[in-house]
Amino acid sequence: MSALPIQIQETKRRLVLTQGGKGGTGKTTFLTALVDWYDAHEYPYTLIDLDTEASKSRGSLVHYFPGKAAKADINRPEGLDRLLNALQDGPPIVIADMGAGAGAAAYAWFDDIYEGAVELGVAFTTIGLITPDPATTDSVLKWAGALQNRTDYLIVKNSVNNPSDFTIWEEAEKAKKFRATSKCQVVEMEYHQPTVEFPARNHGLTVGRVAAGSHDVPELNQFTVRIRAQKYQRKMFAELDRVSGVLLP
Amino acid sequence: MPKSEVFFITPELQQVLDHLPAKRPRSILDPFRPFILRWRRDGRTYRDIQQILAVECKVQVTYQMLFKFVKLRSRPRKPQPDIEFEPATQPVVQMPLTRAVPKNSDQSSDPYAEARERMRKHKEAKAVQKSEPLFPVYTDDELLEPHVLNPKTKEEN
Repeated sequence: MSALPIQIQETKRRLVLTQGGKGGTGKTTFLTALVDWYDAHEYPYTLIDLDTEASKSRGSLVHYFPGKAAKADINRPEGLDRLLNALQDGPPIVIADMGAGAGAAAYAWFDDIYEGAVELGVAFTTIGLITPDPATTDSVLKWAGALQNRTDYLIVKNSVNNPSDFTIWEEAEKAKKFRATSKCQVVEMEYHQPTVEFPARNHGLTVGRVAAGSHDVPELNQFTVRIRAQKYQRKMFAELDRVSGVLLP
Repeated sequence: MPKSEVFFITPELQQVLDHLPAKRPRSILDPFRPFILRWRRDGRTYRDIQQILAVECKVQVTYQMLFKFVKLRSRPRKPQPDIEFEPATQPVVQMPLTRAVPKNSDQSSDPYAEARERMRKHKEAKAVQKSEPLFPVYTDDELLEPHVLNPKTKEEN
């Protein structure tokens, strides 16, 4: 009796998306650092901004990466499909920023396409932002409850104040169980000086651009600002290098 | 993520796999489950939801069918976050064996082949470890001791 060896295909593409749960947790800020990281390694990607929050023209992905990030409407049927279609012939990584409250639409879409996407060698990473606010832990657990083990999880502990208290995330039983069973990767996003963060956001500058000095905003061109931005970026890149397994196909 | 694994499939098994019946859909309402449950949580009536589904989603269902669907599907699914998770890397191997071989395995036609190779190496590379300090760390409550030379060898003890 002859037997045909069948090779199971490795992951060829990866869809990296933020969990669009609670708003104002730093999802887009983290994504800008992530995009800087992909750029530093010259990895090809497609950027899609699903955050259609009307009040957020500044600080949206399109604002940070004009001409590079495409806008898509999560409330239209083809909006989320664009994420997968972009992987078909384009770069093997798609990075998408979900707006706050995108849960229900995203869960339904995910249920719909998941099996087919996996057959095509697509892996998923969802990024959950944790701040000292207990609602952020709730939000991550809610997403995990809906997506289960079908995605890799990257949790970003965002120090929105200094020092930040993550007791709820660290101590809550459900959060402990989630960490133990999902084997999520956790990175830390350092406290960012508001004196740098706000003007940078206002002008649509990523930390990478502030660090490189490739802009013409005088208040962000001081030596001390650049040095701090470089230090911040070095630490962030070291964190991202550590979890590259869930960021690359 | 999962690495390559080799499965063996016989012609007989292949025939069985080719003739497996398609999975039966559980309900035409399944794709709308999260919305329906959310609408219920928001206090919408079954009649409201029935109408939304008919007008916005072009899905015609009876009141009874919708009611039964919500009663059944609002039970917690297994596993829930407070129950069990599987490691996140498993599902990729669950693809059908017959579709496992990529149609286009010619790497030279992939414009991202070089980037893929770099990414593969990056993932395999060990994370950069924090280097040890070059000089010993001194705390000011430590007692500093002078070097003591061995009187015979004239070397440090």
